[in-house]
Amino acid sequence: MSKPQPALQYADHEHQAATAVIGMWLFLASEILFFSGLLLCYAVYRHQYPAGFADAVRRTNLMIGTINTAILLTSSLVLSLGVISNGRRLAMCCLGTAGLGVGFLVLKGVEYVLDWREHLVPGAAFAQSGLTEPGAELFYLFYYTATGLHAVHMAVGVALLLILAWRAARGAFSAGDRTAVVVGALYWSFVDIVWVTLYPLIYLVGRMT
Amino acid sequence: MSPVIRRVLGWAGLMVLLFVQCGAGLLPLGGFAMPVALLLAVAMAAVIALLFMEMWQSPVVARIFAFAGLFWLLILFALAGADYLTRTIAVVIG
Repeated sequence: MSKPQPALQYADHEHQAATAVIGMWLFLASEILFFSGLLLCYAVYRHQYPAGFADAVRRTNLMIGTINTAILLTSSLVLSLGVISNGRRLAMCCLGTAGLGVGFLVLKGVEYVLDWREHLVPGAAFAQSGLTEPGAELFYLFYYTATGLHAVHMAVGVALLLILAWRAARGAFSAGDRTAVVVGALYWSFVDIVWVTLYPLIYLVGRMT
Repeated sequence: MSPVIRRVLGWAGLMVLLFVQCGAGLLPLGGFAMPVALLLAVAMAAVIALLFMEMWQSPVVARIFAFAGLFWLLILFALAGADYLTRTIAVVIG
């Protein structure tokens, strides 16, 4: 099978691959700004309502949050091992990572259900949660917005990984052009970094005050 | 060291950091709780970026974009923080 030609605007395959990687990093830089607005809101309101935020943090599910963090970190390892392999092993790594991603989302769903049962959802029923300090409801608005946006990113990542696994199983990356795998892994690891940042803010800081 | 072993060791390091972070979150650290948690989060993010994302092996322009993203984050927090942390609450009597 002959190697496909690079697109017209590129000097060679290396130039095309480097441009794709640079493009993904530029997208990730814009994603930093996207999530940093949310983090700034958290910082401002935490500064304004420290007691309400601390009370709210104590009601989050530390067990599920920690297990999910471990799952995500492991998924990044599995995918990074896939990036340095090929063919069937690469396909298995992409599938394994997607599986861990689905596991994360399922656990997140279980956590949402438990939160719902404890009335930890902003709105009229929030008063029944027992959290009366001002700011606690705001914390839960941040919680659902941040984890919801993160979950959307995860779902997109799982879809990408399934496509990569399918293509890898068909030998699409055996010819040498592995750009799609590298770029997909960059996106997945970034989503991992976002969660590592959210985890202490949602589950830890304020728990023991 | 082979790339596989390096990655597995990095993952083990991340698990240790997660364990320490979770443990620190269960200690009454008072005002130190946020800096400690964030420091550990930054360490974990650095391991992911350097080892799993191979940031240092990326093209120079890609690294510039990565640092630009962090610089924008710094500007956002510095300017907003300058307002909120120095704002004077004026009490109106009457």
